[in-house]
Formats: sequence, structure tokens, C-alpha cells
Amino acid sequence: MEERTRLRHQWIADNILQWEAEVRRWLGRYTRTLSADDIDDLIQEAYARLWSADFTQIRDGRTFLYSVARNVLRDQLRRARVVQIEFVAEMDALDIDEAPGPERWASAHQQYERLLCVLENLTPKRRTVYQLRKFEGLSVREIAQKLGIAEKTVENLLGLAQAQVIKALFAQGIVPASQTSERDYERGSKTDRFK
Amino acid sequence: MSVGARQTDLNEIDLEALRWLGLTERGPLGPQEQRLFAEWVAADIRHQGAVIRAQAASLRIDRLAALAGGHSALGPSPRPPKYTTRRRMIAAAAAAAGFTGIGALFGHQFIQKMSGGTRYASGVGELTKVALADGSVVTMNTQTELRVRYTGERRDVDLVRGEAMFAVAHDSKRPFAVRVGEWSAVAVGTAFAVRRLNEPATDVTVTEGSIELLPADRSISEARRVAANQKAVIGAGGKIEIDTLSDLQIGQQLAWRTHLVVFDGEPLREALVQMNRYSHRRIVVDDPELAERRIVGVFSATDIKTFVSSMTATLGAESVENDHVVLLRRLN
Repeated sequence: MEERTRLRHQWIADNILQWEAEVRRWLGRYTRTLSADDIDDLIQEAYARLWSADFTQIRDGRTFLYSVARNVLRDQLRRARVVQIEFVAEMDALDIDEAPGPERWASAHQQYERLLCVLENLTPKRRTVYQLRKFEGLSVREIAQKLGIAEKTVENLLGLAQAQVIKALFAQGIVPASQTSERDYERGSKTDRFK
Repeated sequence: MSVGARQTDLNEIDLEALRWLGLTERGPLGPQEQRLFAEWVAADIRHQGAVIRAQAASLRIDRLAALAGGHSALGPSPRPPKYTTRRRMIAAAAAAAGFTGIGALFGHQFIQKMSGGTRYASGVGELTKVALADGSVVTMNTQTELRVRYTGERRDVDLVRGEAMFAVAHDSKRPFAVRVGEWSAVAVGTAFAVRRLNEPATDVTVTEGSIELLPADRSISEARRVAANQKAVIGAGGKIEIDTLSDLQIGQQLAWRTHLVVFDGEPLREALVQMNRYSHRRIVVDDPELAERRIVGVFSATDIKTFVSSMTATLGAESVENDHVVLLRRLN
């Protein structure tokens, strides 16, 4: 991968990913007619849009992701693709909590522990292949030889394992659970005011 | 489409993006595949977003795996822990290469025979491995100096400055003692790392077995035992604090053995102190706000260029450099 592209992916990995779970919950809470699939669509489009931004100008990834997601939602509302039009008026009133301090970050340690939990839930075959690739650094060919299976099979297992790991990491939230629930509670009371 | 209709509970587009990602990880795509991939990405903005997201998530997971230092702490492991393998390899390589042969690979350590023993020193940015006469292996990080003196009863090492990891060959009759200032870390056969920098303090990290931490003056403090996965910090006035570390923290602490520096949210100013240990050229920052920005990343200890370009790309900074100094400043 080209170095510049890699750096941009790395920036997203370091500054955006950890807020995705929160933004998904926010979307789900404020727009009750959005299905899980709608939110998937919206998040995917948000990543495509934020890719073209000038990252050096962005100070706070969390606010940035919220604003991109909000813009995507707003455009979709205009096209009346996903939700009823009455939400548009509400949307401008929606604001997010003020930016959290560094203590809101899950430490790499906590994230690592979570990764281990996720790995434990993989099927033994997927886990073995995934471990050999990611932790032991073996190539697909080496793994195939070592386990006596086809390279194609290794690739399939890796793909499925990676998909499951990524899915689980987002589902469990990369922000610590205890802090999340506290914020859900705060935001819950805010939602009531809108009703 | 209802959520229940999904067989895998994974979004179709995300799955497809990951499938492509898996193919690109294997090697460059063929012309036919490249065309199909480009077509798929262009077909829908969500496809493009899913690829970006999957790439970023993969990098995040790779980093977590890298931080683990090569062993995933999951059982049953399909292979013995990497650390043991690596250590055995180092010992074998060191034995085969003798004292100076490894120099080509790890930098040229400076060896000097003296009346009080043998002096070893590593230069700026060097990672040096030394096989000692008893089969113990010392890995010296940048700017490290130590003196080794073996007798029939004792194996004494004096860490004058710097940072070193000791993989001690078992010999119950001859204890292996590393002296750091007023303290000695004494082992029979184990693996541990000792760091003696200007500041803030001296510390000892044990990865296998255990050591005894003994004060030179027994009237001041008591001996303390430090076990595997523990780190003892010797502070001012001989105050010792012992903490238990996770595999991840150990991996981060000892990443220098593979010539890596790992940052996990440290402010830039602290990161620069670490980076500058490895180079004659110093990286400085003159903007107080920039200095407090937090850094996450795994970097090659001696590759200043990549480090600086990562910093400028992610912090909104620019670099101005001459032969001696790289200045990071905010982009206006």
C-alpha cells in the first residue's frame, strides 16, 4: 500500500474507529425508524466521505465523525430515503456531549483484552489460522503448509475470522463499557426531552 | 430487510470489503482482479466507505497484536510461545557467531578487556547482543555500557548506564548479579531487563523466573523479590515500587529488543525523549500545545524519517531540519 494511503488509514484507525460504536448508538437513539441495516449504510457512507477530508485540520476525531454522520443523515433525509421528514427539524437541535478527555479512551490494554475475548469465541480452525497470521506473522502459504490445508481455505478462514473480529470489536465498543453506560444514561434523559 | 434475515449477522458490503482486503494482503492484485475491485468500489459510495473502514480496523487489530509482543496469551497455542523460540535462536546464533560475529547484524559493540573485567558499550541507535562465557545472553539497547566480571563463585555485571536485557544461563552455584548503582538484581537462571537512564529512575522488569533485588547497604532497605511479569521501580531514596504488568505492557516495555518504540497515548514531548535516545539527530518541538498532543503508534527506533512524517501527517505539523535537529512546529 502506498505510504500516504497507509498513513491516512492509520489516522482513521487512531482517531475515528473508537467513536463508531458511540455514533451508531446515537443514530439508533435519535432516529428510531432507522434499522440496523440503514445505520450500516450510513456509517459506510460516512467513512467514504471523511476520507476526502484534510486530516491535518481535524483536532477532534469524535466531533468530526459525528458531524460527518449527521451530514450523511441529513442528505439522506432530504432524499427521503430513510426516515420521515419530521426528523429534519429535530436534527439541528441535536448536539453531542462536549468532547471527552483522554481518560475516555479505552487503553490499548483494555482493547487487547477485548481482542483476546473475541478470539476465544472464534471456531478453533479460524482461531488457529488467525493466530498464526496475526500473532506469529506466518504467511498464508506457511500456514497452509503447517496445517496441511489449501491456501484458498486459509484465505477463506482468515477472511471470516477477520470479519468476525472486526464486527465483534465494534459491537462490544472500543470505548470502555462502564463509561458507555454512564453516558447512555445521560443521553437517555436528553432523549426524553425530545419526546 | 430485517436483521434476522442475515445469516452471519455481518453486513454484506462489509463482508465483501473484507474479502477484497484479504486478497490484497496476499499480494498485488492481478489486472483482472484490479479491474473488478475498482468496479466494485466505484459502484456505490458505501462500498468505498466499507473498504476504508475495513482497512483502518485491520490496522488497529494488527497494532494490538503487535503490542502483544508476539504471544497472544491464548491457549492452547499452536506453537510454543515465541519468546522462548526467539531466545533459543538468539542463544544459538550468539554461540555460533562468537563474540563479535553478530556485529554485522546488530551493530558493532565495543569490547574492552580491563583488569576489572570486560567492558561492553553500544553506540547511539545500536542494538547489540553479546554472548557471555557461560551462555548467558545480554541484549544492549542504545547508549548502554556495562562491565562483566566472572569468577569461580560469582557472575557480576555492572550496568554503568543504559538499558539491557539478560537471559541468564542457569547455574545455581554461581549467582548472576547485575549491579545498578546502589542495588543488585540477583538471579540464578532467569530473564529480566534493567534500565538505568538519567531519569526518572532505575527499573527492573522480569519476564521469566524471579530475581532478588538487594541493596548495597542492608541497613537502608530490605531485599525484595521480583517475579515474572513484574516491574520494580527504584525511586529516589531507595524506595521500591513493584507492579504486575500484563503481557501487553511487557511487550511495550521491551519492544526495543526488536528495535521498535511503542507509544500508547504518551504526549509528544515524552515520545521525543524516547526517540532521541536512538539518534544523534534530535527531534525537538517548540510549541507547548503540540508537545502535549498524544501519540499512538509502533515505530522503528532508528527511522526518524518515518516517525517525523507520521507526526507531521497526523498532528497537523511541519518539520524543519538541519543535520543536527529536526524541529516540529504547527502548520498555520
